[in-house]
Amino acid sequence: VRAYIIRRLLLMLPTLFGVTLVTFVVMQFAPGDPLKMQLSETGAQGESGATREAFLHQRRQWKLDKPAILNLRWFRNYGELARECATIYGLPDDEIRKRLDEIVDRGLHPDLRRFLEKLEIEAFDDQLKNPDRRGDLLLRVKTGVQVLVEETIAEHGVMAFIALLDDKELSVRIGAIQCLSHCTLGDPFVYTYSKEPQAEETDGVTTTWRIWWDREKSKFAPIPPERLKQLQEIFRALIAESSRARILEGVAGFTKADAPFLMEQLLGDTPLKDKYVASLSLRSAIGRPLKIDVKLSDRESAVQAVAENWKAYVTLNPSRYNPPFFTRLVYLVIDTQYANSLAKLVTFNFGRSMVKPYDPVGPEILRAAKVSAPIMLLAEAVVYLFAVPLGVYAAVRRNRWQDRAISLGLFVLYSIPPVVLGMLFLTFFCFGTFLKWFPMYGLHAENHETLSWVRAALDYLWHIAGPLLCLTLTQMANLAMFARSSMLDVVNQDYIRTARAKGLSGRTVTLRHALRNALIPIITLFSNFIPALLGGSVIIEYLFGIPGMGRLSYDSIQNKDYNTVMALIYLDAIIVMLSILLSDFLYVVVDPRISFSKAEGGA
Amino acid sequence: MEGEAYFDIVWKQFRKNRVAVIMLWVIAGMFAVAIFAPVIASNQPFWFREADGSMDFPWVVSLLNPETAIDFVFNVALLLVPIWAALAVATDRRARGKGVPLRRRIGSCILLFFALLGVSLVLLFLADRPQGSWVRFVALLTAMVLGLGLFTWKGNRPAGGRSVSPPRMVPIALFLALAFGISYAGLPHNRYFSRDFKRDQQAGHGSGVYPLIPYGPFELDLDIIYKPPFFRKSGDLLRVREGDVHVMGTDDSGRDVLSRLLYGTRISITIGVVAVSIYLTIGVCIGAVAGYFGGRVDMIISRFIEIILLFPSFFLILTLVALVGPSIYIIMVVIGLTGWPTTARLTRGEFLKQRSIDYVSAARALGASNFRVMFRHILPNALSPAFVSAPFGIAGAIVTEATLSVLGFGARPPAPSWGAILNLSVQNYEKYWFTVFAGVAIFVTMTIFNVVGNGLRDAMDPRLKGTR
Repeated sequence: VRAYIIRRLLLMLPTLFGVTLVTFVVMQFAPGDPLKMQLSETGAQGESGATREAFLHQRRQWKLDKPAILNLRWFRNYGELARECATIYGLPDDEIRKRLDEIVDRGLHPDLRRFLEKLEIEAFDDQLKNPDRRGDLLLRVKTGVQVLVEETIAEHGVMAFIALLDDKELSVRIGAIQCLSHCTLGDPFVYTYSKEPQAEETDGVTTTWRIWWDREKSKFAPIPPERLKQLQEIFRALIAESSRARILEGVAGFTKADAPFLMEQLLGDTPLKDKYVASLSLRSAIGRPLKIDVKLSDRESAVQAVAENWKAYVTLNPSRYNPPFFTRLVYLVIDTQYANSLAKLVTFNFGRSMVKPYDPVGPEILRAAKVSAPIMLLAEAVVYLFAVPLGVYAAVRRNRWQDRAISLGLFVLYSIPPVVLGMLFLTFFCFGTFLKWFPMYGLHAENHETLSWVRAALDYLWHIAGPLLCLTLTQMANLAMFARSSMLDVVNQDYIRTARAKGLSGRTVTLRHALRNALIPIITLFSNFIPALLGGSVIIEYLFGIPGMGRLSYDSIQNKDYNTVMALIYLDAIIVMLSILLSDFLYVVVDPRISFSKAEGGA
Repeated sequence: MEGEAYFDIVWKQFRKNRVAVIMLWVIAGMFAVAIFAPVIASNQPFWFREADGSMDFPWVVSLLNPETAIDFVFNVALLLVPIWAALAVATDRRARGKGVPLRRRIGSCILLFFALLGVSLVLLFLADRPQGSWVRFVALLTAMVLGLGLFTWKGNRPAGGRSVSPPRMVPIALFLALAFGISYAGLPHNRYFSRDFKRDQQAGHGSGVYPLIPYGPFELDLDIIYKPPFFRKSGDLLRVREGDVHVMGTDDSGRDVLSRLLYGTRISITIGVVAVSIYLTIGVCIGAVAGYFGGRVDMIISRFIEIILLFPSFFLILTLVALVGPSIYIIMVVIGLTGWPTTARLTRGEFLKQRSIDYVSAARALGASNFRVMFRHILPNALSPAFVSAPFGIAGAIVTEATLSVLGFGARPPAPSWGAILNLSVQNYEKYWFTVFAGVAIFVTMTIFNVVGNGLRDAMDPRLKGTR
């Protein structure tokens, strides 16, 4: 038995994988992603300024700028492309304009032309030919190149740009540096920790200061002992401090000459808090010593200094920007959107919602399930309580008027779609145009916290009466029909006739012989309802304003909240598979005629 | 021929269920309402007598210049009805003379209709680009002749193996096609577009004869928005004749709900039929391949089916529609693309059962290709489970459309789908008439299709015989 269950559980894994893959592919169909949607809602389009920066950071954090399933970018040679980008970046506007003119008038710069065509600018030829629109084209070219650098080349092409830093043309070097800062999203040098220091940040901070220290070490004299003792005292006091404002105040006491002591604290084997205070002190005493940005008008020497900073930065981060071949092979699969979300699903850490306020997905689902589950459970209980006796009764009275009436009634119930039923209920019993017996929205009265538990329970029941009715009627019809046909199957069996022939009363035969066997398929059917139990109903929850699972699914779909949608479908698939397993298991438990070996043969 | 004998048995069984047979006629009635909707409700007069005594025929013109593609298909069908009726009567007389059973005769008449419709639509589509009326005329004429040819070539053969050569039919058909073509091609299409005949009549520029319900599904009247049922217009509001009543009230733009409901039948039927045809086709093909070849192919396909079945289907449909964008056509396609696994599973089971029966070995021994064995020999015998699920599928598709519309992912506003009408009541429940009328329409349709589906299942599944 155990082997059978283990085998079934193992078979689930590829199926689950398939489910996530299909969900992912479905979502890729959609134009745009949640971030772009949110941007267009605020009207910012994400093309310039701080919004653009925040947008790119968020995209990169969620890996939305990565390829969907296979990341071939680590294997591409970005040399040519990087050169073209750097050229465009390094040229002043009027120079680019001149080249555009030359492309049209004299057919020069075929490379540039090919490159520009690759940017897929709308109505490119048209704009190129029309001299009045060439100003627009210039803008679009610059935006196009920026998007290319920021969203596609990104960290994959950093090494290609670094190679361009030794180029003989100054403008290309300047362009390459600007591209680099776009590739790495602005300033790659982290001088201090964020407001709530995390251990992961240490790497970036120490790298930055180490670059500077390696270069400047020789200029610092050792600190005299009395000063050292003083420094240590101040430092201890600051570490003991918990208020950030106080720390910032205290940090101002350090001077540039104290750098050797602070570096020791930062680079040594010290706790996080020490490193945090040290980095803050260095930042206040020394500022931002590593320049990484250049202007088009900068001189050779200034550019050279910045280029050195970049080279040092990249050599200290080889794994990030120039991974070895084997790592690239791993990145091919791992460094993608799909792997990113799969990792979240497999660890059951679903990440954060991609919609403001970016709540964690897991607790959100749990909260919604707590709302849906009681309602669905109640609905299921009501369904079983009424449907089974009804179906059995109809079967016992088969082909008489009772059976006909029940069957007809069930058929009508079965044919009312929940959406219509819900809307009719709201119109006639909740809204008040006709009757106002039930509330329209929500689960509780406003003052439900002050009520005694009996009253609170009654209030709850009063609120969910409508949804309950809509959820039960259709299912009840379904189950009662099933119960009826299951009972009929049994009633036509030989052993029932035998029981009757023995002279047993009709009641005994029905209850002791027929019903017990007829219940087997009905009981096992219960596991089919488990997914619905947790999944809720989208339409009913939407109509009755219940903040449960159905509502959550609806909202997440509408907001293209990839993380939540993936998590919901993944959890649902798991629950469905487990309930199928449970149903097979119940069969064996309830009916001794069936055993696992047979079930295995059938499966 | 065994397959056909089987369907004869099914038909006999089905006829025993009186309710189901009645409901089958009701479905036929629904199709009729869908096709004849403009005859019952339209804002264009059948004819219009101008102040100077000349006559106009705006109704026919409006049929060929409808608002949506679905309306166009049904309008062409409406125009084809007289031609079809004449042809059907002519051929049916011969078929009856040969003692062909009723079911077969009805079948070939329906086939004739769809042949005519299909060919005309293709040709109208081809003729759509050059607006010159001669091109359209020739196209339509060719359509008629081709449709006729198709029918005599294939459609009548079930009558007993011999094809019926109809000597008198060709001239009749040509004459009708000519009449139809000339009336169509000769009409000045653009003359009426900017003209509001009702306003003209109100201003005393002539008078027209309107259908029973003189409102179109797209006809706006902003003076009478959200009027309750049985709203009777009078005075300045009156457009056509004394005592005009909006039996089911008006909607947010003053459109007549009854008229929209009638035209909504077209959309509902289209959604149901198209979605179900898509998923039956996909499901049967995939299931056939899996069941026929078995082994590794079967394993891969079964696993895939399992994966799709694991999705909560409504959730999947909702996701796809929300992502791709709301429209009736998208809904059809999405339901079609997500509904196939159940059909595939059923067909696969049938194929697994059938492929070891002797007639399959016989067909193979005679050298039939895999394709031929699958689709000519096994398929007719393996089709019944898929076939039984079709009425339920149509009902389900209609409800899915309504649900999606209520959630805000349905048809775009001017389209008169039942779901869109239902949606007008959401958060707006004092306008109860949308819920009541559209809801009842959906409910009745569900019941009809479920009854027929049930009857079909009972007729096809011998195990359930006697339980009812």
